[in-house]
Amino acid sequence: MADRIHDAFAAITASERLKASTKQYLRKTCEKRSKQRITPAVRRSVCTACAVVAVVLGIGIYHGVSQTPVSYISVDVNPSIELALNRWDTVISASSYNDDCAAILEGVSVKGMAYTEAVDVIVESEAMQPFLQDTAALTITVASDSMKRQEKIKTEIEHCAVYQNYGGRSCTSDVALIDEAHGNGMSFGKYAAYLLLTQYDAAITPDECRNMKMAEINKLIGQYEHSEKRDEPDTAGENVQIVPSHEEQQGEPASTDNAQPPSPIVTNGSSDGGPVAPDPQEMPPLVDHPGVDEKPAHPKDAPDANSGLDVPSPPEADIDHAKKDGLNKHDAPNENGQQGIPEDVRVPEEKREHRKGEKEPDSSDPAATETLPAATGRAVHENAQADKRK
Amino acid sequence: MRSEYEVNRAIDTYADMVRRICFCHLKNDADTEDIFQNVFLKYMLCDRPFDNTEHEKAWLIRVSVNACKDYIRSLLRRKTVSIEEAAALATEDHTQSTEVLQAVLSLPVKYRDVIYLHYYEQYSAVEIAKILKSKENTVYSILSRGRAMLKENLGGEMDG
Repeated sequence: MADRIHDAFAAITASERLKASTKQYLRKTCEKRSKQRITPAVRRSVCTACAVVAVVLGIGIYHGVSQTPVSYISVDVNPSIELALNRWDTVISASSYNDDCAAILEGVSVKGMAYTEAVDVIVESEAMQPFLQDTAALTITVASDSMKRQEKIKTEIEHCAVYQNYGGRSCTSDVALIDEAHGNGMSFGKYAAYLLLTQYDAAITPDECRNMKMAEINKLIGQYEHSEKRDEPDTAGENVQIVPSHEEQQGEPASTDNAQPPSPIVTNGSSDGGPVAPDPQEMPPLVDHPGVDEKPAHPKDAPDANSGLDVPSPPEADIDHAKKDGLNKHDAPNENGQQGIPEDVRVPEEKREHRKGEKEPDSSDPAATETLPAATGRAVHENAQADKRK
Repeated sequence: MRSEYEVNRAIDTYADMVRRICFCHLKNDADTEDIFQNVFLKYMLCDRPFDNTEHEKAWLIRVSVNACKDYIRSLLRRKTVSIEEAAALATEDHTQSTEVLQAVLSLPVKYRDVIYLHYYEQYSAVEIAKILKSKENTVYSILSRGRAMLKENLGGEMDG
């Protein structure tokens, strides 16, 4: 049986033609391969190198995108902390702008956190608590390259527990302000407030503003805003957006001849783009100030014997602030020979006349509570007029 | 890559063996020729040194079996050839051999390889198990069953 199977297989042979064609085929293949410059080994190496480059490039791009800040959040009380967010709204860095917040950032690690969580952690950190006492003003300013993202971040921050617990104030700014702010050694949130303040008091300098607490800046702004609001009551209650200012705006005090001083503020939905008062609820109300019932709110309401302006004297606390914040410069005679009130703060003659004609508000009117400081100021002003006549 | 001399020597030495294995699986000349050339192309491109001629022969058997299996699995294979045609193609004017070859080719593939390697190449079951990477007992079983099937197919002629 074995022999028969062996013989059956032995009958199968490879013909000479098959052998010759196979030899020829292999020879041709060999020649073709030797002519090929790119051998399979080289091709494999190139493919591997390409894959490695693609992976490295991918990781690089991902890392680049994830580490590129597109939005910024400035948390200002007195310590100023600035958070940079990437495209996915994750905190990629936290910067401090004074010694106080360096201590805060040492105690917490917010890198990689969602911004709402980061703001919670920073504001609720133990190191921050001493700064959040009593009259402290928590101001959170948002800036982003996209308006949509900016509004989304602002809205979400306003829903944060800490924002509501500490009575925060939020505003938006422009990313173009950030470099300018850093150049002046401030967080952009504080710088935005500074720009707002320069709108009313061009004499104030970044150096003075840098060491002021947000509560102090807000109070000064509130005082100016309040007097502004008396002139233009219809424009109150709109959101405030701060845009980059021009150098000349800061350098030259605005004249009362101008309709409005050059302003870094624009309001959402305002057609003329003119400066208007921010939402009074967002600003620290003047009625909260101690002793405000007895004394006028605004430095420009102060009577000045030398200038002949019959305006009431400012409250003592405001004078202190004014001195601290550089407002005592106003006491020096200005180029027009007037003393005490800078041109941009002085009230135009017709406005003063208008105020003289105003009636004393009815104390039974609930609306009078909000305008109490102004009303009180006017009452004092009328008393002074009566004394003069006598 | 091996030299032309080495490749020609291998073709002269192992051409019949490779063709038999290919034929056992593919049963037609055209496919057999393709796989035959592919087997020796692999030999040419393989830089692996062989310990001796037995090692080289076992390598070629293994590569031939695998190449045939791969080819059968491929979807490109559409045409089929009957066993009778295949046996007639393989052997001419050998009536008795054709009958036996028909019987072998009618067995399942795993039987054909083992019977060829055992009855023609004279490998033991242990060696076949090593070449085909199978278990010795499996090879013994296949041999036993294959022999019984051949006896049945060929009637009493296979006795003895």
